[in-house]
Amino acid sequence: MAARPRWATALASFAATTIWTLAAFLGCVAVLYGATATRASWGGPPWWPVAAGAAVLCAFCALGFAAGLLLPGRFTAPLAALVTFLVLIVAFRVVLNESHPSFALLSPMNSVPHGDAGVFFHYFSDLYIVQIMFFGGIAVAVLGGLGLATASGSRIVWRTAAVVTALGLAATCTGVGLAGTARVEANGVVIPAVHDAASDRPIAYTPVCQQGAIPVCVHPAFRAYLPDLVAALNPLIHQFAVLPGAPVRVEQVSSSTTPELSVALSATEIDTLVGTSATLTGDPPVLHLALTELPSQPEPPSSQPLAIEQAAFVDAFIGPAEGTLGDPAQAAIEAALLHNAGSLPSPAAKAANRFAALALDVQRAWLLKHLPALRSGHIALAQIP
Amino acid sequence: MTPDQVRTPAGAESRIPHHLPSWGSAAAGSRLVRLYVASRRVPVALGALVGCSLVLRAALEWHWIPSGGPLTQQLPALLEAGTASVIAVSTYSPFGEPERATGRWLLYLRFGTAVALTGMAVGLLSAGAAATHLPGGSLDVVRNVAGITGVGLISAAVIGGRFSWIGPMAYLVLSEDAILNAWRTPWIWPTTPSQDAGAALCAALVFVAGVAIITARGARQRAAE
Repeated sequence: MAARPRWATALASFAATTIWTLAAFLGCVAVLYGATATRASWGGPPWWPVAAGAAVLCAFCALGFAAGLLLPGRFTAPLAALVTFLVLIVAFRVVLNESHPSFALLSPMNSVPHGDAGVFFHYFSDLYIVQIMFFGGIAVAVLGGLGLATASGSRIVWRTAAVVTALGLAATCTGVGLAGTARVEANGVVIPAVHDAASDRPIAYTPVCQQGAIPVCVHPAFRAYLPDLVAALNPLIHQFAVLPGAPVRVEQVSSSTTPELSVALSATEIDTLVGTSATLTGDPPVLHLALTELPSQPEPPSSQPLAIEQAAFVDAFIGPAEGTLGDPAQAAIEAALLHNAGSLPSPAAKAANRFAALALDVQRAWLLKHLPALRSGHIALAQIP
Repeated sequence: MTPDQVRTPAGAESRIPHHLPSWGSAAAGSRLVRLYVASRRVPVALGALVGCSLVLRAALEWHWIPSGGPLTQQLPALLEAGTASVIAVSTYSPFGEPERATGRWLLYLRFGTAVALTGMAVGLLSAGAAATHLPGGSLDVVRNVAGITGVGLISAAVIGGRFSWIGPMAYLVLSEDAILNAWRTPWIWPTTPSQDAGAALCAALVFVAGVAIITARGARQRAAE
């Protein structure tokens, strides 16, 4: 009986360990997608991230396996795990820090998508295709390289391993080259060579509306949040009803089409600033509101349900246009209306507390008289009653 | 088979020392320590700790660690867990513990190696962050390295030295998730500020427990090893 080539033995061991890894990964995906499916009211599961995740796991398994085979030792496994984590975290930091992070985009941990990603516009598959190419290529090249290292004189095995390695390297280099052409756009990463232009078009939908003080409409995917959203916005709508420029309708829009003040913030701080997710436009005015941070379902009530959406509403109405940061007087009035003066510096907080202590009729009368000047930035803190 | 039946190659007898040194002598003690350290691959472990220190330095130089916000501990915690994994794995010996023949010396060897490597990990990581701003500072490094090393030593006692790195890595995954989701509990100390006495106490307790259990029992010897 002929001895089995070492490469074949190594590939069998690799396949066995990788299948366990992939089974664990797919099990986690099944739990996540299953739990999501029981709560989702619209759309279907995105499969591209699953395929890319599987390719990433295969690549890391191949690298770890090769390290264990070529450098056997007690420290190989922990150091391989450490390097894997390190690569993922560093790539994530590079994507956040650099303005054109083309190559770091290859990392599976390259961004935190918005809460409404893939709802209003298609989730672009461009980056996933390139990631699969890159990581699949790494896995194939490493396994081929193992064949080269363990061929031990067999010319057929060596040639086969060389071809496999070359194919893997070609796929990896193609992935790197394509990532170099990537553009980060509002709705995702565009890679021209693999981009489907049809995915640029918005996804058609019929909004779901509820009549509160004014009609409030959301995408059907957010239907479950509509009653809470109406309840959160109604007091503000009533308070602004008689003021000039008050909205006659609230419509949900994609967060990619609303201005965002996220430049200097970390990933988890995005959208925490007032004014990052709503605009007030048109005649009659319509409030375009993006829902990016939402309470979890099916238990939405929290101490301040939909507080960010309330803040966005107030900022769009009081603050300057295009989501830019307002002046201290605007911030004080917004904080007074939101009962949130504690977050402001002392002088603005004092003004906010003064205004919040006034009766609603007095507040409304002051706003009726001074709102245009407040919006245009011509009110000082001292002028706030 | 008896020892008399074992055949040795010619000349091998000349390399076997005829006079075993007395255990009380400094030379014998030093030789025992040297052999113990070598069999646990402590020099390689030190190399790995130096590597972690250099990566920390690179991370600070190239701004991979944000200066503020909730993610500041993400990368330092990773490197601290890495050093803890290396220390935990250094408890493994493929031949069991032949030093049992030395009696009480084994306890000192286990204790000394674990504590010395932990001290060196803290020192090397602090040196890697010298003259730069490491969020949390050296106090964070001391607390996190000690605590996660305690997790690793307990893992070594429970599942064996070879796989003991799984404990610190599992703790790291838990910590990273806690950092990303802003969970706060003193038992996940990388998420808390260095002044948090509760977290420091928890980390110290875990470290003391880990050192005590590894000193008293050693890493678990599995049948396959």
